[in-house]
Amino acid sequence: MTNKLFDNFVNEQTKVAKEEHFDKNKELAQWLEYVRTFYESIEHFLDRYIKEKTVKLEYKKQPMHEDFSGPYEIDALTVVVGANRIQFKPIGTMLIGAKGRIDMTGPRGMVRFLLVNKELSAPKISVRVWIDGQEPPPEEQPKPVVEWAWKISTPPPRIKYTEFGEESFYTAMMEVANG
Amino acid sequence: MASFARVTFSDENLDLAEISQHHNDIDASVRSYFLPSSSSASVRFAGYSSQEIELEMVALLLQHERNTSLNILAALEAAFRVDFLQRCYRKRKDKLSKALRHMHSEKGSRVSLEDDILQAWKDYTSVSAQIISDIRGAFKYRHWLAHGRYWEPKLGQKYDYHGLYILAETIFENFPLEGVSV
Repeated sequence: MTNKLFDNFVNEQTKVAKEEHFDKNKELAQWLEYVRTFYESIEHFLDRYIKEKTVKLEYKKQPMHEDFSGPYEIDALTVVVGANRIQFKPIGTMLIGAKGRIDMTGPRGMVRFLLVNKELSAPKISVRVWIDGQEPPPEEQPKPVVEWAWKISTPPPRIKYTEFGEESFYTAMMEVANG
Repeated sequence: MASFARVTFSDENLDLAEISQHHNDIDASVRSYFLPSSSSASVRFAGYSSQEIELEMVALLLQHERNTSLNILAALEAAFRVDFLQRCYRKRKDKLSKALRHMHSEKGSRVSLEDDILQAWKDYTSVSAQIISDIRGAFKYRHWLAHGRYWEPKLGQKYDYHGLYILAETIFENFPLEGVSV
C-alpha cells in the first residue's frame, strides 16, 4: 500500500509539473501557425488553378472555443470550384490522439486532416495496462514526436493515415466533391 | 452482506466496427438524399437555396455524429460493466477483481462506472491517469448528450465521433477486459 501511495504521489507531482509547463498562449499560437501552413500548402497545390481563375479561395474568420484557451478566432477556408464549394473547418487542437484537426467537407463527403506525429501511419495512443501483481504485457517503444505533420485520415473503422501531399489532396478533394 | 441476482448477458453488445460501418452508411445516405439530383429533392427542398440545403444537411450530419458518439460510449460502458461482472462471477484472485467483487457485494450491478469501476482500474492496474481522465471526460460528454445538452460542458478537450472512436479502439485493444471480444 505504501508503494502504491508513493506511486500516486510521484504521478500527481509529475502531472502538476507538466501542467505548470503548459503555456496556453504558446499552444494556441502553435495551433494557429499549423493551420496557416496547412492553408499555405493548399494554396500551393491549387496555385495554377487560382492563377487561371478556375478555382477561388475564400477565407472567413470562424469563432472557436476550447476549454484551455477560451474564445479565439481562426480562418475557415472555402475552395470554390465551379458550382462546388469545398469547406475547410478547423476543429481544434485539444483532441484525443491528435494535436489538431481540419475537416474538409463537400456535397459528397468529408475528409479529415489530422496533425499528428510524422512517424505514425495510424492512430497510436501509448497504453500498457496490466493488473497489479500480474505479468506486464511486452513493452513497445513509443515513437517520440520529433515533428508534427498534417496527414489524411481514413474514416473509422480501422483508421489509417496517408501523407498530405499534392496528389493525395487532389484525390481527397475530388472524393468530397464527386463521391 | 446483500446478495444480488446474477445478470444474464444478452450478447447484444454493440461492436465498434459495426457502429462505425453503420455510421458511414447513414452518412453516405444522407449526403445522397440532400443532393439536388436526388429523386425527392424537388419536393423535399422546393423553394430552398443551395445554402439552406447545405445548412440542413450539416445540422443533420452533426446530429448523426452525436448519435454515433452515444453508441460508442454505450459500447464502452457495456465493456467495462461486462468485465466488472465477469471478474465478480469468475472469482479471480487478482487485486482488481477482488476490489470489484467487494464493490459488487455492497452495490450489486448498480455500481457507478465513473466513481467505482474506473477508480478501481486506476487504483489496481498500471493504466495511466491520463487515459482514465480521457475516459471520464468522454462519459461527461455522454452525460451532456444524453441529458439534453442544455448547459455549456467543461470537458477540458474536444470530444466527437472521430476522437471517441480512437479512444474506444485503444481501450478495446489494450485493456485486459474479461468477457469482451474485440
